[in-house]
Amino acid sequence: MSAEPTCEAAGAHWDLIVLGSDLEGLAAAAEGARLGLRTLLVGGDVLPGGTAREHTLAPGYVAAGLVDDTETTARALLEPLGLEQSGLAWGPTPPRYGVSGAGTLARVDEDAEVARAFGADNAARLGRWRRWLHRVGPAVLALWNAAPPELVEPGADEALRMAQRAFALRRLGKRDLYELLHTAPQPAWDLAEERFDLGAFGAAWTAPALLGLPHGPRAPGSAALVLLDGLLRGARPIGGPPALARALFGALRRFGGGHRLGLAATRVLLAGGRVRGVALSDGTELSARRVIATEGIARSLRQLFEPAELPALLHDLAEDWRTRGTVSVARYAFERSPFTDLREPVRVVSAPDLRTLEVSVDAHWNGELPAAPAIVFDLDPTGAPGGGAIVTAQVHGARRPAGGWNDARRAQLDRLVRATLADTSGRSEEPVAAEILTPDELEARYGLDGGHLGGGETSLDRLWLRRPHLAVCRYATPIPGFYLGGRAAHPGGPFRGGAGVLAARRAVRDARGE
Amino acid sequence: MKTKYDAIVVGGGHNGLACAAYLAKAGKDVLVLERRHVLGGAAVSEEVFPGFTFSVCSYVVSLLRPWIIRDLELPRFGLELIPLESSFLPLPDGRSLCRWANAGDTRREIAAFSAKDAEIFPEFGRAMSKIGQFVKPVIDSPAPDPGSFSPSELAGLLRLGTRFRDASADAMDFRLKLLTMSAVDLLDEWFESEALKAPMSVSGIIGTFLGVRSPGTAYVLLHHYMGEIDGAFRSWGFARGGTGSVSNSIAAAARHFGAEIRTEAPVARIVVEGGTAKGVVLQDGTELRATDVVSGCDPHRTFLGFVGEELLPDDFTAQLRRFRYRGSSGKVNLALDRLPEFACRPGADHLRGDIAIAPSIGYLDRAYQDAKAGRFSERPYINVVIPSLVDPTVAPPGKHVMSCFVQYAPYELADGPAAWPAQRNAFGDAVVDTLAEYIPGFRESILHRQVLTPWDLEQEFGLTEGNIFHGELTLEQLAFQRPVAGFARYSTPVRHLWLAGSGAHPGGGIMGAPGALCAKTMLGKRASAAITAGGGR
Repeated sequence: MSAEPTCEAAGAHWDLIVLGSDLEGLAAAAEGARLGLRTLLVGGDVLPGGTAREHTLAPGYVAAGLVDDTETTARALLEPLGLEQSGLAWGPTPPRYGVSGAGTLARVDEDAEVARAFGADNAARLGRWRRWLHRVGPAVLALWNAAPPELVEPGADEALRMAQRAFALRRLGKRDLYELLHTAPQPAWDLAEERFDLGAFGAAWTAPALLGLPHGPRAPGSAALVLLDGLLRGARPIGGPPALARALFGALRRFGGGHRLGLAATRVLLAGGRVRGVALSDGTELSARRVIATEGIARSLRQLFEPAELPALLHDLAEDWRTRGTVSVARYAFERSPFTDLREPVRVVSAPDLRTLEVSVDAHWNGELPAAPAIVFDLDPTGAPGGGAIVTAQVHGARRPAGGWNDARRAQLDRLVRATLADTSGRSEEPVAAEILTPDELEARYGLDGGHLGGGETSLDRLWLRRPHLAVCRYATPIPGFYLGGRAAHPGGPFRGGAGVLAARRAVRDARGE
Repeated sequence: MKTKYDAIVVGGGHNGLACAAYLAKAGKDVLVLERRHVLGGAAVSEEVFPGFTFSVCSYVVSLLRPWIIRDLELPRFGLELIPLESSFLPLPDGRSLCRWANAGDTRREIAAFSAKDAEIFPEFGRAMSKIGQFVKPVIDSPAPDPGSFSPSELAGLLRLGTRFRDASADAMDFRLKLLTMSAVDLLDEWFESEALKAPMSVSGIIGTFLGVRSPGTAYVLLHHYMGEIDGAFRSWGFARGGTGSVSNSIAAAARHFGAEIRTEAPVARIVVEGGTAKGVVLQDGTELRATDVVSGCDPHRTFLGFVGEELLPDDFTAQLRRFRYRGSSGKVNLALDRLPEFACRPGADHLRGDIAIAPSIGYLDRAYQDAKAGRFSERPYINVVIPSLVDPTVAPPGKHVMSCFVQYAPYELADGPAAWPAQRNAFGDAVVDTLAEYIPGFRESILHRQVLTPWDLEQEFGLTEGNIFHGELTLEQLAFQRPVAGFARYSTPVRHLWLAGSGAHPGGGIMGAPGALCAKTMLGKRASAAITAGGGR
């Protein structure tokens, strides 16, 4: 493809400019355009998609995005965009496997197999968990798939909406409501003990949800992530992140939105304290009354404004927003899939128990590489020639060993991951290509603050009303016309696309109100 | 001997006694039954070694509610609180940091580590005190129940919501943050010096199986700023004669109001007939009847021990069984033949408050990692006090008592809790060895040593799994969920059986609030009304 900046945008005057072309930026721009704003997407990369873009590991071997977190896409929020018209199809969530007591892989999401590999008790527990999710799901998702409530200055409308949502929660009935309030703030460890087990079965249900935390499963509030993971998974865009990115980009164009890609925005321009446009790296100025920033918070705030322009609240936010990426990514291209009969993507959680997960994440606080880390493997046969597979490993706790990363440590991590894969799959293969991406490299290559894969930690104090801060959790900031709509905004993290859509809706509402 | 009462209180801990005192004050005919020979439960003073009196378990008075002190006229019955004067951190590299009641002195001390931290420290105190004012009414009244549709509950929730919103966006955000953040993350936002952050962060983990980086631990920092006098250094203190004096003064008040108190009167079971509590049977077979039975013991002991699972609804029992105790701390009490002298700072002025062995956050991380692996911390966090320095009544002249609160000591060892007795001495040694690294000649100064592991706390004091708070003080075990959602108002599934201990809202520490609020609830008073009059000031 051409490396020239692409531009499909007439004129220099826009209602809304969206910065950043990762899934959140694409979703924000598409939604803004759908709702009638003259919208322009601006991104520093020539091709849209950011971390969701395809990446060629070796000729014929193409990884579907940096990591696949699209099984927790905020699908309900993307619904109005009609992504199917842009070629998107939804398929089932990839089957999830854990390592059974016998050391072999077994599905943790399929009743009969759970009963066989993890015991009848666990099969019954899985059934109870699913039934409970089914009961509480609608009320929780109604909250989750919406902007957090306005607590600061709720108008009559907002008060009514809050009352309705509170009522929906209470209509769950005492028992389910209590159970929800018991579950959300508890540690995933306790949830696993009460709902799954503390072995491989429980680990398979917790490890993927905790990838955005600098903590292990003993951290209070980590159960909320397991709960949300359970509620939101259910469908995945066929083709994963790149397919979703393509469809969102298609929707943007379908709704008449423009894009300028290949030139990053360097400044947000203000006039009288409010947004009047953005300046691009080549000096071009574009005018717009509203700008949604969807890249990392620290970067967005520090690079797009002069320090003196930032209100104290945003200045503090840029300082305090925590992005300690504690996950390294290792990707491999295999000529022969480590799973013999792989026809569709699968997720394999390699952790014999929750303790392994806890210890993995502890290692990074000690400045060590975890000796036997918990690893979430995504195996995707679709990006490789017949019989092959792309394997993406997310390694818990591999953050930054004391003394920093060097070739020896990267090689050590590579050996560790491949040994784990060989142990887990029972097959030892030489990869055609391999790539180790430590948090440092994730930061450098993908512009991820702190090398964090989800835009910022998803710990209890950084969710919902506090993502990223109570005063800006509804996307508008103290700078009139400037919005935060990236993964550091609600729902953010692994709940792809949602923050962009909600930020765009907010911008549209404000535009109509003027 | 009398066998019929208006109310029988099982357990003569400070909460049970507070409940009894309030009931007696209201004219009820009350009996308190204590298993041990001494009153106080875990708020107890005992002459463990001749001449040496220890606050055997809990060792500082933290949040004893001022309205209880006033209502029960505790000073009249012997309560005398001595504020902790300082907080001292020795460091292995020979430096040290002492925070004093005097802001200027503290500033100078902190400045030796970080000028920036010294500058901002008072501001942190002011911000925290402000939030303390918001939290205080919450611990001073029963918790509203979001699962109830009754108008008074809705009003309670609304009041809470309105109170929460009564601030700027930034202040509201700070409140949310305090509830959910980790102590270290919060302190990181303010300070840069580990010497300041490490000893401050530990308040969030005391009595709980969490680390200083665990979300939700920031909240407890507030407890240090919830004193009656705004901006006061600390609301923590010693009770003259040990923490048992708190219990004894409440007991004296209760007796004054007509309550009867029996020690060495262990209860075997609570008598339940037709779903109603009717009295208790003592271990010697004596049956005592009462209109109401109150338990000051923890929920596990109360319901599964004294009542019995068969008399409780299954759903309730199931929830009770997942109520988490996970004791994580132990206690080492030492009789010393001289005052310890810290190598990094000789002298005694800085030893009159508390002393923290918490040299760095990494040290605390590793201490927690030990516990998670099922062993006591090789180098633990230790909170030391030497009450004999400020209260000469507790040790012979020239000699001292040293109380060491030690974390982590996980109840659940890798080989199970029953492995504790075999490890008791090693645990005591780890504590002494740790202190000896800071205090030359320390081992030689020890005359006697009492080591209490979580196992001992369970065996001797009836604290399930050795949890000093009658159950962890974690978000999902607070307020309307303490101990079981729907039964957080001191009432239980058994009619006329009440829970008055730290396993009820607002929880542990020498607060007295669960006992007093339980009594108020039993008496049918709007407990919150009493609070507005007393503690809302």
